[in-house]
Amino acid sequence: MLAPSANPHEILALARKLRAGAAELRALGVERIVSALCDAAQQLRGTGALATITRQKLHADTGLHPAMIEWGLCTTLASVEPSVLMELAAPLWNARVHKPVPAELIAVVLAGNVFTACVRGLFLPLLTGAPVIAKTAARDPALALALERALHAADPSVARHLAVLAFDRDDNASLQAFVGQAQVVSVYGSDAAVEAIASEAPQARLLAHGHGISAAYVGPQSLETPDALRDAAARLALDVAAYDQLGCLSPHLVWVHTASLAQAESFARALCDHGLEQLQSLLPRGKLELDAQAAELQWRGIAAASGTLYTGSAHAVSVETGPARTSPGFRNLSVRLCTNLPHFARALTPFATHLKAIGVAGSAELRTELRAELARQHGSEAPKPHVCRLGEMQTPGFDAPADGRPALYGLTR
Amino acid sequence: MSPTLRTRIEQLIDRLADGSHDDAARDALLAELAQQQASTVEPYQRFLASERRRPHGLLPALPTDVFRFARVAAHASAADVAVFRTSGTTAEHRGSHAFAELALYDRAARAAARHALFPDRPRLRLLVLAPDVHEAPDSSLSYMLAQFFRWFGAAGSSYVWRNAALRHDALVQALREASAHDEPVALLGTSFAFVHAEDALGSERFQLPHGSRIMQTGGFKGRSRSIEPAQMLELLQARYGIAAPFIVQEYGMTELSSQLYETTLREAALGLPVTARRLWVPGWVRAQPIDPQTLLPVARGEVGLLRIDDLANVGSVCAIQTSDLARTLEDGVVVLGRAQSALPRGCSIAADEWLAH
Repeated sequence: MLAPSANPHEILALARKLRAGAAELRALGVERIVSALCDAAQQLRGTGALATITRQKLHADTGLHPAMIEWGLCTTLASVEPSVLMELAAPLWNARVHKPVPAELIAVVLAGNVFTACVRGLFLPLLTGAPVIAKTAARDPALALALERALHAADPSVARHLAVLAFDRDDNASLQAFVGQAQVVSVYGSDAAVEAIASEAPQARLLAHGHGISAAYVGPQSLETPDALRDAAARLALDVAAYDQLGCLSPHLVWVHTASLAQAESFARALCDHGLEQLQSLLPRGKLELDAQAAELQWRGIAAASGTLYTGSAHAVSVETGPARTSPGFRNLSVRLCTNLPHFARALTPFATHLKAIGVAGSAELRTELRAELARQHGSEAPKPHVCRLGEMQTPGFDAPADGRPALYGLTR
Repeated sequence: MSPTLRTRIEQLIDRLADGSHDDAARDALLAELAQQQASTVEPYQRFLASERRRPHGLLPALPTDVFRFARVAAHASAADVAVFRTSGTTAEHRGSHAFAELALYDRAARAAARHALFPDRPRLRLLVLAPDVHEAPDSSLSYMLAQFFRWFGAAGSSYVWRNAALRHDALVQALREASAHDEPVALLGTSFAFVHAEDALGSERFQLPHGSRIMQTGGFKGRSRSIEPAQMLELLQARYGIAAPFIVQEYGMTELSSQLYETTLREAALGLPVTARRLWVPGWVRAQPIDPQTLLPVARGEVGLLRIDDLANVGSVCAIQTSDLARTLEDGVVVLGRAQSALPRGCSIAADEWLAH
């Protein structure tokens, strides 16, 4: 591992070394790579020194509550299962015809809003048999560094093909050295970051995981009985509370399928008073900086002045009919009304290119219907958001599609 | 609003126009005004129904962003004589502040500017680096500067900014004339306009006569490169040959009717010792950094979110909650900048981008 102060020459030398070792990694075989990755994940789920220190650092860096750190680590690392990884990798490694060629080096730029995003960010490229050079987010480098160390403990022969480093986002010389040797560059971050990095890596295929926004939909059946309503509210509460609503899979708005304002308000109350309130004791909200508090104050003010606002101990739910607006995160959510599924899909149209996930309270058929409706209204070119059940928005499987594409999309040549 | 309350507010502004303070009288009037507005301004009424905290018995302040989504006015739109709008790229989401009359706005603006900007001279040649009212009829700044022409402008006052661009030749000519005739001028404008001037003037430097002054206001909002305040101060001094104390920031916002000015100009102009730079808060305004969790004022010197209670905001809501980070300093406040968007840089879309669709 390089120190965060690594200079461009050191980064370039490292990138070249990693690239030169590509064949060596492939020679280890998929079983060994899978085993190493799963072992590393397992280590960080445990109570060893590295796992403990990592939790402490994550808490300090992200401001999330320790219980939320624990939840995020457990749900994410548990998804790193040997069978899942093998099934995902098998078509690449075992193909007899048109066998995909692993990249000789994949550069990964990690984002800082959801600390567990680096697990897939680092492991998926390794699974293809490609060495990985990764830049951590300045905000929370802890887990990426911990994964690197855990991998080293699990299998140094695999670990030597992964390097995690840090440098300033404005350090162009380091960035050029970082991406210059890569055949694939995978970028998690803002659209601006994606654009800036793309211009430095014309030789590479760019996998952009840019700006994102997510929403939720509560079908009519979930509003029919108090139990159904409460169940949907509880499930949505988890999607909202997870990572304190700072990720691109975090819903900022939920549309409830009703023409009745009173019914929408009932749902909002259930979400606020039961769903989110209960989670506040299980997964308390983390620390808010003054900037975040300012944004929350403004958002809630608008909600109270122009709609209806329900506030809880560390969260708020509004019912609004004016222009759709995102919340500042940190467990603030708007409930909106829609009269049918096409109405809901239409409401999302302006944001179609940024949609990452849609949580649905309703049947599997409803989700299928929604996917079709989104395709109809947003066109076949628009990215396909991950449509899933409420309560599962923040826990996509390790093999789940991202940005509407298969998990390993674009990582091979 | 009751005529007697209105009269008492006018009297207080007049009485405190000399820079004195009577916090008890101010606070009593603010409480009375806020109570009236709580029953006559519908969005405030709704806001208060939801926000039940009463910090130290005060009604909570209405967040500025509400002006972007709701009409915050005690009167019907048919009675509007002016609607000022915040700057922005999409009209739909620009904040707007409607006025049924501007007499009290004028009274407060004139008194504050007389005290802080023009304490030493009844009139001065004004050179304005901001659009005029015809070009920007919904800008409260343009309105105020137009009034400055009437109240404080000497012969030769002019706009050196037109059609969103600097009138380079007009500015240079006016500044050369001022130097040649030893006639001090007041350069008044937006910060980004001063940056444009900085870029346009190249190597040209001026040594403006003593008594010349600069008032700059607002941020950059993507209309020019951003420059840190301390650096801006240095640039302006070097460019125009004006001593630092004579260069001040104005703090105003569309949602308010009163303005705050930095203290140094008055002190220097009157030959008083120049003390630490801070915003002077007129006696009819209360400006307090608060803790957003409790809504209570933060301890002296600590950073909080600036709450402003403005007695001149009679037609909307007098208690305004900004997103500006500030701390108190002596008898004034220091604004440290606007709180950043809450969402961290990452893959979550920024709120404004959503709104921009």
